[in-house]
Amino acid sequence: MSARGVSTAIDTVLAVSLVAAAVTALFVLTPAPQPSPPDAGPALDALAVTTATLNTTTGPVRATVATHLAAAAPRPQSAYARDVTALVRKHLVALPGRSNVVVHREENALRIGPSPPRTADTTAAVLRVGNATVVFRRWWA
Amino acid sequence: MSFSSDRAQAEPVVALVCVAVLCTALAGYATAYDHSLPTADRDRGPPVLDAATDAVLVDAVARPDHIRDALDATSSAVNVTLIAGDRTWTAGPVPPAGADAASRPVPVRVAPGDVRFGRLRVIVW
Repeated sequence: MSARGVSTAIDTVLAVSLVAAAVTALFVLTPAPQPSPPDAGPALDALAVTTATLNTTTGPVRATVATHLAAAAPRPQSAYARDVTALVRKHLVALPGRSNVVVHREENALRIGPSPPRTADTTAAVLRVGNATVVFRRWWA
Repeated sequence: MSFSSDRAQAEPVVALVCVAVLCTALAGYATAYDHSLPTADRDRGPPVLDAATDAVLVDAVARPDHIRDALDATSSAVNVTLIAGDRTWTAGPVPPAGADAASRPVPVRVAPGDVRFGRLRVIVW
């Protein structure tokens, strides 16, 4: 192989290396597309008007989940609140991704489901039931 | 007129191989660049799901007896399924494989005063 042939090969290796570097930069510098988090609004709408019968201190009460949440929030350690938590948790696990419900009423809060990570993109929906506030959040795991 | 071997161009075989390698590398770069761009694939599921939801919901609660209204709410071929617990209602033809699909949670009225947490799913093609 002549000196010019070697030079041509070296030039090509250099050019291919630059192209490889460009491809690498393309993948490294281009951020991976992130799927938008699941919409919390329809899930809260569906959850809030779902009906269920739960035992309270005065006997079984049939009401919407939103009403149960608002009623359980002042006493989050009670047996009734635990039943409400179990009911809501059963619906949350059926949803794609992860979900969390927090009900604020007076100075108390009833929390159901894991808290979203600080770095996660979340969607949230808020529903007021009497003087209680139901906050529903969803995100991808 | 004659040329000495020292003044020749690059050897033809080496030059051809190098050009082929370079072209392959550039083609690879073009492919990688194309894959890095956002695709414009149109998903017909979400808009059809919105139309079906409007047709099925009555006072914000899905009514299984209104599920066929969802078929009239869209001009596309669509299969609509309403799921509440272990109960399922379906309307529309059997969808082909690979059709666009979308779903959302909805409250489903299964009896007077009995509303279940359910899901509305559409498959459109």
